Amino acid sequence: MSVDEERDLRRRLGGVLEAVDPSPAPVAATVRRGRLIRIRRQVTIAVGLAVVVGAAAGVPGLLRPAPREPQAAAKAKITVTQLGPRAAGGVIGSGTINGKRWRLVVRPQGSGGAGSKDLCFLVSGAVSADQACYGATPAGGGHSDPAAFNTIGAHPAQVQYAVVSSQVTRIAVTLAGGTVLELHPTEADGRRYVAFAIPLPLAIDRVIAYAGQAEISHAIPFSTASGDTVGAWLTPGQAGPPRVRRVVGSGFTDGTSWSQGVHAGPWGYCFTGPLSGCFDTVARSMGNRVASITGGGSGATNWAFGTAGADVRYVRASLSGGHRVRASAVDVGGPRFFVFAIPKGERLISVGWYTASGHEITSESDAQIFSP
Amino acid sequence: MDPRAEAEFTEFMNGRWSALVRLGYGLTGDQGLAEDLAQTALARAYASWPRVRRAGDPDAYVRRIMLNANHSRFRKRRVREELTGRPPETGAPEAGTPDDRPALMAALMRLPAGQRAAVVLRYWMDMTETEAAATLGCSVGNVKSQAARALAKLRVSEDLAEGRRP
Repeated sequence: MSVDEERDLRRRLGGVLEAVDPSPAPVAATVRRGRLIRIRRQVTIAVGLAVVVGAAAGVPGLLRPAPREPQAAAKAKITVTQLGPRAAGGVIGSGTINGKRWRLVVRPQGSGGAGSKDLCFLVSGAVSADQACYGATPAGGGHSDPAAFNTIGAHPAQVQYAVVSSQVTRIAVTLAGGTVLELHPTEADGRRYVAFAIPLPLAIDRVIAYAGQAEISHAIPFSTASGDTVGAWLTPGQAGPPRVRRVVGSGFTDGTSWSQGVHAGPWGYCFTGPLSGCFDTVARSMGNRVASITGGGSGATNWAFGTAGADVRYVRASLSGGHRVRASAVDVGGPRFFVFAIPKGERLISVGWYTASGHEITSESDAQIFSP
Repeated sequence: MDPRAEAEFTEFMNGRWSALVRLGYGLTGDQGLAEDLAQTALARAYASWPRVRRAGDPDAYVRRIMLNANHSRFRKRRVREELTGRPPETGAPEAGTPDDRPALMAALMRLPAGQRAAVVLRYWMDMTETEAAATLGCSVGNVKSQAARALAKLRVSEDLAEGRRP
């Protein structure tokens, strides 16, 4: 191939890119993400104001996940249809919310590369129509946990669905208010699934996986206003980390106030703030590492978030603008977490983990991630 | 957002999705990443849709976000969302299509991000140097030099030499 001529490059580049066959536009999922971004911006502003107005009340109060509406638990009538052992027409979940029917279908679609098919999950009916596609295995499908849950759909309901392991015969989901949903796995394309849908104001209290009559393990989800995350699974009798919430970092960067919370509990370790999500582990130590850097691009503020061992008290980071940042490693019931902001136009060069006496235990360079 | 704006965004997204994914593919060489970049950019556009719409050029806004996001991809280890990603695809050519596509993509992926972006904007999106400079947030001279350097590298690329057909 020759690239001597620009028009030749145009032609060949066009051939490559026009051959790309995108999945259908995920409008509902994108709108949901967009709404969350907007809500986060509004919350950030609200938190900034609340810190000024209510400093005496203490910051931890701001960390509390938004309460769900308990009245909804009493009012909502939720049913889940018991499906057969094999999913007919790819239907892996269906039921009603206050008499309105919903259903979740899994379909192989397109090419996931190397001859494999993508799996697309489509929800419709009483919940917002939505679709999520994965290559070969849905999220968490390869996990050793009894069930790996994901959510789909948006306001006014959340649909939780899971790939369950072979030994699980049923899953019981207890909702706030005491309603229990019994879920029996149904098989589609060689995988076993369970699914249920609940109104978003309703929280999930507990999920228990059974093999026959015996409980294998249980999970207590982390609940926020935008839904529940089924994180770590606990064996019978295991309590998991104590419920602790801490602000591990806060500041005012590029004109915006921010605050990062970490919530330890039986769900593992979940995060609220610039970084959200969960570590689905109950480990008391996660080592010294940068776990995540938000990907807002060089034109936006980013945050680096990480963990530290018990002997670490602070981290120091070098940024591309020549700035050095120091962030405390905050104890959240065992593991320590840190967060710091990377202002617009800067990137992370390196991070070092230090003891109280200033001894550097280890360091990590991030230069390769951001190199152009 | 009012229903009219919501409908307008939906129409905008449906109309641009394929082109944005292809732009993302040109930047990353991975369709999963490309779709994620496109969705990220469109979600941000939705979050600020009234302002984006008022600014008058939502296409430029979304492209700019995609390019920025590509420079700083989300890195997560053991964070739950990591599991929701789509595995990289190999991009194997379809039967009956020229088999120098993987070679061209390999050569493109070896270019620094700035040069790759300049190539994709100039030679696939057919942007003028001025338009590409506005999208990349740099000077016209910078676009010229990035594109020239990229072409020079592509001329001597071993990937393209290996992928050359007799």
